[in-house]
Amino acid sequence: MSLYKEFSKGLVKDNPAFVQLLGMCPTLAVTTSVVNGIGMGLSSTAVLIGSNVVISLLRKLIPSKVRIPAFIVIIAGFVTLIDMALKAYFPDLSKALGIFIPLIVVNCIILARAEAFASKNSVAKSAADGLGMGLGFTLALIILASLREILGNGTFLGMSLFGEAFKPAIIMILPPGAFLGLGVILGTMNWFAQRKKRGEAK
Amino acid sequence: MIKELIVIALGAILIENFVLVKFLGICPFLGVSKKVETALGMGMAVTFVMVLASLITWLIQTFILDYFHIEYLQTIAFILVIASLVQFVEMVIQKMSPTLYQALGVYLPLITTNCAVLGVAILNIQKEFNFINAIVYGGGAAIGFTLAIVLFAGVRERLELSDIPKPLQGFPIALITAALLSIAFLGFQGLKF
Amino acid sequence: MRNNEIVKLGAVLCAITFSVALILALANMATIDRINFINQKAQSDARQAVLPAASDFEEINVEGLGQGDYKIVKNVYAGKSSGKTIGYTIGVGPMGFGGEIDMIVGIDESGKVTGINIVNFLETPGLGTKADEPQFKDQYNGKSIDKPLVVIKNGTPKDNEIVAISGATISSNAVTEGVNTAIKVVKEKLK
Repeated sequence: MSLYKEFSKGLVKDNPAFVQLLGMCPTLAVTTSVVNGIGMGLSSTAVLIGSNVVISLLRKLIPSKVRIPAFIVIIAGFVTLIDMALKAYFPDLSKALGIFIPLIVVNCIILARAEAFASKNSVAKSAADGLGMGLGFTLALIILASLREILGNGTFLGMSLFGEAFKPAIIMILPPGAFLGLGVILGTMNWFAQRKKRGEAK
Repeated sequence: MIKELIVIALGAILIENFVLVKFLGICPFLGVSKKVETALGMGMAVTFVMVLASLITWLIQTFILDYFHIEYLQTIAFILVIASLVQFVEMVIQKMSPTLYQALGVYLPLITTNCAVLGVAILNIQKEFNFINAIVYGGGAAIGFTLAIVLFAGVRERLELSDIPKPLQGFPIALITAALLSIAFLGFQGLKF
Repeated sequence: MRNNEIVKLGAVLCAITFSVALILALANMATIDRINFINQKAQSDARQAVLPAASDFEEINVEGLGQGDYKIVKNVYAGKSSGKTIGYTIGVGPMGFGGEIDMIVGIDESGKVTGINIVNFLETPGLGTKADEPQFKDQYNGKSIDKPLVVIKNGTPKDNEIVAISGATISSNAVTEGVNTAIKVVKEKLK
């Protein structure tokens, strides 16, 4: 039961991208299409689970003074593994995500979970936490990417939605669209939260 | 030669602005941009680290990784270099100029996880720059970062005083502001040399 | 005592770094052949696609590539069919929107563009990617290399004109610049 709790908190309540506002660079950069969003999300999830498990396994062996460099090395190792796997088996995705694959290393979500969770909890819990946070991140990327791809290109997962007559708002898949889209999503979430609060107060 | 360097620098500052076009270094851009002064401090610290990081990682790539054919260790090597560099810079500044240290102190450790620094190191290699070009690109990228964060902080200082709908207060309006700034930088795409 | 601690910390860090490097070395050995194979195949497929009549390709050395007017030219291959050169493929990397477009242009001996192929690019998906769709790409096929190509925004294209992708003029210009540079290589360096 508690494993499920560790898993589910990352999905909505502590969603890394929308609530904790971590990992903003890949969130904004790769969400030009849903496929890229899913690819980035799942790659980060794999790194997150791997680093969480290993760090949790080694948590008693790593002296606390050098834990940050040790974490970074372990994370960088997993990132390089994923990078190789993508290059070998999903070359198209690897090209689309480009430099943002090696940059998973500096995605603050991963170091934050290592420091705040994996270094203090059991392996099973850390794995559940990594999976939940990773999927939460993926979910956030999919939401933002859908918004941008549908409005900016008139497609979803590459399938045309509205036919030829639709003139897409190209700005949404250009860089400003990323900021705008995320700003509007966060604003809408705040609006719902505040409405709910007002409702409860009455 | 000089022309090429100017093109690289201007490209990094305006056309491919790291923050507003390439989305590198978003965390400090959103996190440390409430006041112009602190934004400028952060920009200076990043500039310092980015130029040094470009220099050292280029040497490491050329004389160690390429030489021994262990290019796959690039990510690990670069992040370790950057982490130690940040630590080193912190110590040097603390010894040399306590006033500067006080101004920048808080931001220095944050630079390790600033993806703009690792990003510029990797891009230097990907773009197959030579030594001088790599340093100029690093400097240009850093100036571009500073420019974006200072401009953004200027706008945010004003935003503090405006009447903003409640759900948009804080991050949402900051992001929408960044979108407008990014639109302005899109204009530079038209620059041709 | 303190020295001991530093040695211990250093040893732990070294051990971790060493094991990670070892694992990566193994993983690298396992994937490197496949990665190289995929990259080479992508390149040779792309060459084949832009010069379908050729059966094999041979890289040729041309002076002055990568500098001056030919700054964006990366490589030149001669396409051969039963031992005779029937055309060339020129790899060029013009700057598009947000990065370099890695593309290959095929030009045959009679002086016609036989096709273009975009191998790798960092363009905005959905915008620049339209440059890789036949609707845009095929416009270049059969263009004569006598005159440089010009991009127009709309209307009916004349012989040496290309209609831009709507809303992606920069990408269209970049691709056309690549083709024009490839044409120049063939005209000035290979004739």
